[in-house]
Amino acid sequence: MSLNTLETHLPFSLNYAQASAEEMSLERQEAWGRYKNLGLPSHRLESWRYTDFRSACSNSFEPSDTIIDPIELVREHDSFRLVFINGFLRHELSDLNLMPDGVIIESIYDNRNHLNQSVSLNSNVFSNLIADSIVDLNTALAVDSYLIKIEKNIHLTKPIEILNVFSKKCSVFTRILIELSTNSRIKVIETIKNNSSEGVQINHVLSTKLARDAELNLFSYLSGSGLSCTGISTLLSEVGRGASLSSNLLVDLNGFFRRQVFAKLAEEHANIALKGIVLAKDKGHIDNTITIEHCAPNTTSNEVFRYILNDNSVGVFQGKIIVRPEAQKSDGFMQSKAILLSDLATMNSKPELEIFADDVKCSHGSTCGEINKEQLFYLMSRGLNEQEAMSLLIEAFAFEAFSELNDDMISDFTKNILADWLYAERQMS
Amino acid sequence: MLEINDLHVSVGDRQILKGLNLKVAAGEVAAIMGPNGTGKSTLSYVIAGREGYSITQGEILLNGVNLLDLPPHLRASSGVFLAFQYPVEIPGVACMQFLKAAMNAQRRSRGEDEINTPEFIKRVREESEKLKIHQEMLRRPLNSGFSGGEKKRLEILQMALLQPKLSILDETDSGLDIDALKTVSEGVNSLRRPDRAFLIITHYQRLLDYIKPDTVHVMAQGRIQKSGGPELALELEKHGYQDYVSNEAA
Ligand SMILES: Nc1ncnc2c1ncn2[C@@H]1O[C@H](COP(=O)(O)OP(=O)(O)O)[C@@H](O)[C@H]1O
Ligand SMILES: [Mg+2]
Repeated sequence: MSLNTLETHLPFSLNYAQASAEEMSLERQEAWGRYKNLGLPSHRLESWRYTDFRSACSNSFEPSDTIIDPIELVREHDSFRLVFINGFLRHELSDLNLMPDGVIIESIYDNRNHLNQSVSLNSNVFSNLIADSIVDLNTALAVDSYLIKIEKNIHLTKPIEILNVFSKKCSVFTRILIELSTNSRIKVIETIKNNSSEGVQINHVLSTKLARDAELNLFSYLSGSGLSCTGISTLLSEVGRGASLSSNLLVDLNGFFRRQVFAKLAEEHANIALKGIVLAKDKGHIDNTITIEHCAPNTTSNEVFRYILNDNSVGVFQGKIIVRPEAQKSDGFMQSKAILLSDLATMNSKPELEIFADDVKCSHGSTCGEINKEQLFYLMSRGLNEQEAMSLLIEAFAFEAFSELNDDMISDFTKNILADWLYAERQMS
Repeated sequence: MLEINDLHVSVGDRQILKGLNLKVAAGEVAAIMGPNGTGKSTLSYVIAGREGYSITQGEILLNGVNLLDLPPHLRASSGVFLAFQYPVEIPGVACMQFLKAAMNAQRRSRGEDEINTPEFIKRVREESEKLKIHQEMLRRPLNSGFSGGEKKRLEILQMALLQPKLSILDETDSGLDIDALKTVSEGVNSLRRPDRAFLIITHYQRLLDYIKPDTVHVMAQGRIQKSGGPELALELEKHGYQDYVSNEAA
């Protein structure tokens, strides 16, 4: 496929890209250049073999615009909220003026679309990990992007919520940077909500940087009652000395979606925990691809994912742990398990370890199967009907991923989503 | 209360129950004794409704209703309870959550109100004290990591809470030390009532020292070979199952 034919298949209009090219900052121009060389990732690339994104994006949608649609938003969490509709920040729906002391929010690009002087996109930190062009494309095209900076020693208990709502057929590039200064501690809720009835194409990047002893608790909720959503959400994270990133992901999304994580344990005693629950049905295709690089001694990473797959849905889990020679006494663990509720559902799981240090502890495991019949019978023999018993078992299975979650709000929220999902599946069957 | 007529059950092409007949009256404690591998657990599973068995002939009536027509949960709510020989571990389901779900599910299918939380907690506390079950154990996931004895006590706790009409105890004595055996037996004895029946499956006489049966049935090779009173258990203790096994083979 030549570049020209490829470009007509891009998930955004070529005109738009050219129009903004004149305005592009150097960093954007370079990213755009790299992207033009590579194109959208092909499933011939090892890291994309289960997820044919190029075919999924063969129809390109118009880029989103700032035309304001009336929108009703319920507040689901007690939070400081930033609301983006189709990729653009909506001030009147957001709590920008209510942000507590120590939280600074600024636009990444100035009004000529140039990178703000004080901001570094930090993408080069991951350049050797990222083998595809999705982040480059985002760097080139994300428009209304923000940096959230948390000052030293700030501890927030009320979460900051980044709510991305999609309401129409469009192609959207969004980017958020979060920088946590030394010993700061925050919770972030990142929600992607697809309400569009005609589909949407999403390229979202959340880039995080944790300084010494900082703690970021991230809850990402990818959801959508709308028609098929095609997209990629990328989490980049650089974790400093003694700092810890904990990410809990809940996917209940109708469509073709990849969540990819590139994380770097940059300094000693850095710690990353990535947990996920995936609910998929119909022809849903949900991919979690994770690369974690241990670059310093005594660093730990822990990944636990649970997939519940119904109908013709497809789950993908690819986890790669890289341990650099200097990262002695590192500990890496990854596990993915899937329950298939239908004969037609599929799970693809591929763990990889690349270990260059000798004194490390790394392990992985994956299983895929049906509901355990012995457990089901035990519960039914006590009076629970089949659906009640299944729900109890599926909830237990899913929550193995969230067993260390110390947050009642998120836990209750997840339980409700799960119960609704199971209820809906039951009505269908 | 329970009437089993000419029950034939096979797994795959192997016949395990071969025309079993058994009657247990309300208020009765019936013991079934028999050698290993004779089909005792199969019988208890078939009464409770586990799948994987083909029932080629016969019926199982509970107060006149053929249980074979009901799914497992409706057998439970109509009063059948099986204390498993090997209780199933379910990590991730908390004991208390499970106990409450089970009680309420049965109440709902009988058209009764759900139990409220304070009442539920009170009931669990009372019954678990009798069985010397620590509250700490009930905060753990269901059966997971429990010792053999703990699992068996939890089975009896469920029985006490659910108040079944027909309780089947499948080798509840195996894996219990003598103190636990006494506690569990007291638990069972305290549930004896004229409108309840018990089917106690064991292959040792020992349990029957604590739970006095009204009738004893010898099961071998897929059938009840002989029925009698408590004296039959003592006889078996002396002579073993040899006679019944060879009879059948001859
Ligand atoms: N699911 C099964 N598949 C194949 N054989 C079975 C199965 N369940 C039981 N059996 C066989 O049936 C026989 C009776 O088993 P069981 O009912 O457990 O006996 P008991 O409880 O009296 O020891 C045994 O020979 C056992 O191997
Ligand atoms: Mg047995």
